[in-house]
Amino acid sequence: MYEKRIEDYELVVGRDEVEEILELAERVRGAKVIHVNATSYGGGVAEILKNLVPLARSVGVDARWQVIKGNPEFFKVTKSLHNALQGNKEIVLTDDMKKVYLDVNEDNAKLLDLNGEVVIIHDPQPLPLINYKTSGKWIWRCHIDLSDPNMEVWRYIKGFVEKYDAAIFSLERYVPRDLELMKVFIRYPSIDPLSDKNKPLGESEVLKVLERFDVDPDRPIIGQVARFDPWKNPLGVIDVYKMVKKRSPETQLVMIGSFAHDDPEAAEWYEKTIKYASSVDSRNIHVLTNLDGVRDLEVNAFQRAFSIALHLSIKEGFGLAVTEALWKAVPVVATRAGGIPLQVIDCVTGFLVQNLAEAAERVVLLLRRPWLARELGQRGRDHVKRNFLITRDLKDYLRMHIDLVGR
Amino acid sequence: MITPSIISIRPFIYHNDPLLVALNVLAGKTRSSPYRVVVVDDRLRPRGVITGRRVLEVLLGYRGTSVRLRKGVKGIMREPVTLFIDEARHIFPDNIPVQAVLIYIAENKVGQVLIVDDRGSLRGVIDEESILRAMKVRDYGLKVEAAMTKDVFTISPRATLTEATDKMVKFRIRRLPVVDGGKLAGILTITDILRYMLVEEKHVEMLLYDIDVSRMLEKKVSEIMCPDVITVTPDSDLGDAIDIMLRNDVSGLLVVDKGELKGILSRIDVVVKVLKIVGPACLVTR
Repeated sequence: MYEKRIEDYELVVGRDEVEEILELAERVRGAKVIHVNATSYGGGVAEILKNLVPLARSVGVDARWQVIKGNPEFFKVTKSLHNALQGNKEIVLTDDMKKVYLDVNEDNAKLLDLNGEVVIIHDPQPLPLINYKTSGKWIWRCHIDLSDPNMEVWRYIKGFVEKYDAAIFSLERYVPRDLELMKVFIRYPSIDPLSDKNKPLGESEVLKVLERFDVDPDRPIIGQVARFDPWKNPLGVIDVYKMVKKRSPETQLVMIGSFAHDDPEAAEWYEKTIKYASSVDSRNIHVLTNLDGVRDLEVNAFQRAFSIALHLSIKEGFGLAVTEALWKAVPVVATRAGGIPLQVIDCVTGFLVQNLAEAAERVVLLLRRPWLARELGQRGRDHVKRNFLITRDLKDYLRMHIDLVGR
Repeated sequence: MITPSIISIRPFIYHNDPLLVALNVLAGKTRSSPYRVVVVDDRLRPRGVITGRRVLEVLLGYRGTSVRLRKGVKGIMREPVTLFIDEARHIFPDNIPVQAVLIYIAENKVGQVLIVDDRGSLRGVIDEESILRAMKVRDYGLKVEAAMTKDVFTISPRATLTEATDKMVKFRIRRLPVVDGGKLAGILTITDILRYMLVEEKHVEMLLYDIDVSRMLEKKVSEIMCPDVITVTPDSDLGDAIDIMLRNDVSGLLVVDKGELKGILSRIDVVVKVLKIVGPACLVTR
């Protein structure tokens, strides 16, 4: 994990904001805070922790990040859990699946250091670790949409959640109505403006990346950055591209995803995406992953090169890839899933759409009006600066730590 | 550009004000005291928001726990409010089209957005009330039933305030209709409880001594609730319901049919429903 300095953020958020952070941090100086999640790479949670943990350390919190280990069977079970909690009503959690889930968590409990003053468990995969709590305050951070869960599965999960001291959700409407917990926090996720994924890049750096991946910088590029996952609708993105290309033949599509360790479906959906892309236009559709060498810096460069970013999720937690695109002053055409409407303000920072045909219409509209795309993009960047930067997230975390263990 | 008349100036407090200041603002005398107060820095830039629920949670010991353990109720009242706030969210510049803000409110079911000028200083808020007041058209052809929340938690008049506040905190609700034998008997809100705890000179005690808050909550719900409930029926016209809310300065109406509680109609329910069906352009004053 690399180091961060809070002072570096002054240029982006101002001196007052940094001073406020330092004042709050003083009350929890030295507090040992342990974050546990299921993957060190890929997806929004790893993205947040990669930046939040070093930033918390930079202000004196003894923040640590640990990742659970699991076999493919375990991650298959947790993926089913994830899908069921996000609304798949057909999934049945068998006793065998529960056993795998519990056994792997039990094994991890023996391996991990869980003796923090505050222990923050992210998402359902490591949730049963609460059974091995010996000390400290334990918080469950839920990054997924629980507004319409598979009730059978939710009832099982709820039994663990209600053992925690507190829970954090990304949106108010994601908090299940029947959850009985005295401390529930709502925290919007955030992006780090100085991370490799979001830091300023020069034009030459962007061009170098495009050249490396054989993407033409002189033609319009539309793109989606998202996991290969049915909820992210990668095939729908290609359908939109097909419609756009009929009216704007020069346009290229770049789809970037990563293979997270906890995502067994990713390979299958990557294959499906590649196959569909090849059948449509293999020359102008670029499907890229971390395995091709597209890491944070490359994602940053691609997002900066996008004329328009797409985000056509069917279900979404918060949609940090949208935040990232807006931060780079790129307008976003997106569905109304999850936290997207908090970021994409229709006709102001991008366009919210009901279906793929509408998405294609909006993309063409923006491709033909670069001045409008610039205007929406700039407003998007301002909106992120006011509402979704990591410094605000850090302040909320510090307040929560003060609440639980502070002086 | 936002029409200035839709921006409301609401009470705000400074980030280094003691928590007691927030309590006093939130437990004010009017029937619909603000449920949330914006917290600003010395240059009036929004830092956060504190709600009645948060204050109640602090008083009950569910929030600010570690500070309270060290300093007691007396000490926590003197702590700066910034320790207990949520970061300010939904911040918009004053040059954004008002229609966009209204759509944002409807899309996200957000009760309040903060409007800032080009230096980031607070100009005011657009909230459910300011939108309702700006709605000039009242004939939406909608019944109350179409907008109300049906799944409602209730409490018995014989329950204690401890039971009521537990329910409010645990299930994240701010109003509890009081139901006795299936019939509506009154309503209890977080503001009622704060007012009871603080306005009746009890805040002075809190400042001077470390009082036992739980003892204050031994009273019965029937002693604190508001028995004088303003109701509508599921068949009532939504436009009429808005007029009733505004005329009586209340943040929600109970929906009753033949004495039986059917739901709650809150300001945000109405705003979201009307914005989604009628659209923002019909609502804004010119």
